[in-house]
Formats: sequence, C-alpha cells, structure tokens
Amino acid sequence: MYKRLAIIVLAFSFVGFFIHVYSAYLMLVFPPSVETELEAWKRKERMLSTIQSVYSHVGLVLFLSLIYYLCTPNDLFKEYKRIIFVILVSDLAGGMLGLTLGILITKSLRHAELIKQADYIRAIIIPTLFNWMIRPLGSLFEGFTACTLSYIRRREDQEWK
Amino acid sequence: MIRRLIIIVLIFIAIDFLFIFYHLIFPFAFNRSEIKEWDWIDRFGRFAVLQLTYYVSRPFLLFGLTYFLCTPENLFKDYKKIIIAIIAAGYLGKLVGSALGLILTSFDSWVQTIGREEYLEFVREELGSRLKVFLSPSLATLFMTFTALSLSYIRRGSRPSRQDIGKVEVSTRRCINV
Repeated sequence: MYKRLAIIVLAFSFVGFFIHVYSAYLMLVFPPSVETELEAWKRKERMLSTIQSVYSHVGLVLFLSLIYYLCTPNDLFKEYKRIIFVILVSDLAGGMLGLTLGILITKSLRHAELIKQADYIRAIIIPTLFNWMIRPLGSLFEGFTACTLSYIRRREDQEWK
Repeated sequence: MIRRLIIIVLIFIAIDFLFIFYHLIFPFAFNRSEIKEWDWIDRFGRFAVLQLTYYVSRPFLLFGLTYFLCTPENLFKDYKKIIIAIIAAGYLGKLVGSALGLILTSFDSWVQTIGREEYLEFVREELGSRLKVFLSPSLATLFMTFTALSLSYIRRGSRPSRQDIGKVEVSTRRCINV
C-alpha cells in the first residue's frame, strides 16, 4: 500500500512541477525575436495552457480516485503516522525531481541558451521554492482524506459481509 | 460537534470573503483622483499586513480548532454528515462574508466620498469575473478539516465516545436496579 501511495503522490507532484517549469521557460524566453518563430511559439503556449487547464480539472479527481481505490490502509489507527510521512516525503521528492528534470530539459532547448544559464536557473527556482514547500501540505490533506474514506469503505464492506 | 464544526468553517470562509471585498476597495479608490496618495499607501500597507497575518495563521487556527473542538463521536457513521456539513457551511460562509463585505465596504469613507452607486457598479463587474470562486465548493477547507477530524478521532483512539459511556452507564444502572 505504501509503495503505491508513494508512487501516486510522487508522479502527481512530478507532473505538476514539470508543467510549472515548462510554463516558466515559455514566459522567460518569450517573445522570440524572429517573426517566423512567433507563430510556433504561440502554438506551444496555447497547447501548454490547454494541458494546464485539463490537468487542473482532472488532476485532483484522478489523484483522489487513485488513492481511494488503490491505497486502502489495513489499520488507519496504527498506520496514520506512516501515511503522513510517506505523502510528505513523496511530494517533496516528486517536486524536486520535476524541478530538476524540467530545468535540465528546458535548459538544453534552443531559446534558453540565449539567457545566461545561472540567471535562468535562479529565475525558475526562486518563485518555485515557496510552492515546493507549501504544496506537500495540500497533498497531505487530499491524500489523507482519500485514505480515510477508503478505510471507511473497507470497514463498511467488512461489516456487510 | 457538527454545530461547532459548521460555526468554525462558516467563520473562516466568511472572513476570507470579507477580505476579498476589502481588497476590491483599493483598486477602486486608487483610480480616483480625490484620494490623497499617502492616505492610500498607509491604508493599503495596514491592510496588506493584516491580510498576510491572517493567511499565515489561518491553516494553524482552522486545523487546531477543528482538531481540538470537533472530535467526531463515530467517524465511520458520521463521515457523510461531516462532508455535507463542511461543504454547506462553506457556501453559507461565502454568502455571509459577501453580504457583510458588501455592507461594510459600501459604508467605507472612501466609497462615500467617491459615490456608492459607482462603487456598487464596480463590484458587480469585478465579481462577475470571479463567479467561479463563489460557485465552486471550498475543497481545500474540506480536505483540511476532514484530515483534522480524522486525526482527532484517531487521537481518541479506542477510548469510548461520550455516547458509548452514556450507554454503559445506563445499562450498569439497569443491572444494579435489577
């Protein structure tokens, strides 16, 4: 159960931060100086905003459903501390992974090379840092609620049997 | 317990919306030449400090109050009631906060000097663009309070609830009488 929970939390945190970094990249190096590139750039930005909008709507439902159906604790009264720990650590790790990988990938893109690399990294990390520290709390409340409700469902099922 | 929970959630959401309305005053007043600049900066500074203090202490206060004051008697039976109560209290809080905010801000000295009707028109336009905030349930508050309630219930652990103690007392008395 813990492994599944850790993977789900890590994956969602990773995707969230990767999108965040990519959108920061688009903002930082926008607009391109060459007129012909502008159209391609706009297309990219439009696509990213669509992905962001879909993710913001579907992400939470998917996150809650996956934990609810796949991460039912055996005994919530004994395991709650471990559940809290796993969610917090996985979210921090996922965020760090998304941030690092996002920076590595976007840094190698052509437009990012125009800016000084140190400036680029600083410009992305500083605004993201606060989000990286606060986000695990949100994930904790969402994940723990889903785990509790899943445990209640299991108890109800057992009582029925 | 449910009544206490409703009151806590309602108060916090109402304060959130009161802040939203007070936030509307500043861009409205800033665009008007009648407002003295230093007065504007002074008020905005005080408001920003107050808002920041509130937003930093809000999670601790909301979580702490729910954790210590709203321990469910039986989470397994009451969880649906709890979720409905939190969502309903959220909507009620939005209504109360908006009504209070509208009344209080429309009597503000700035709004009085500039014109209340113009202000109400401005509020209507602004709120139209923020309709989603009013219509969507306060999910963050729901998750936070539900986690606090669950942890509070876990803290009590296998200790019997007040209802159970009452039942045991009644049955013991019956046994003694027999």
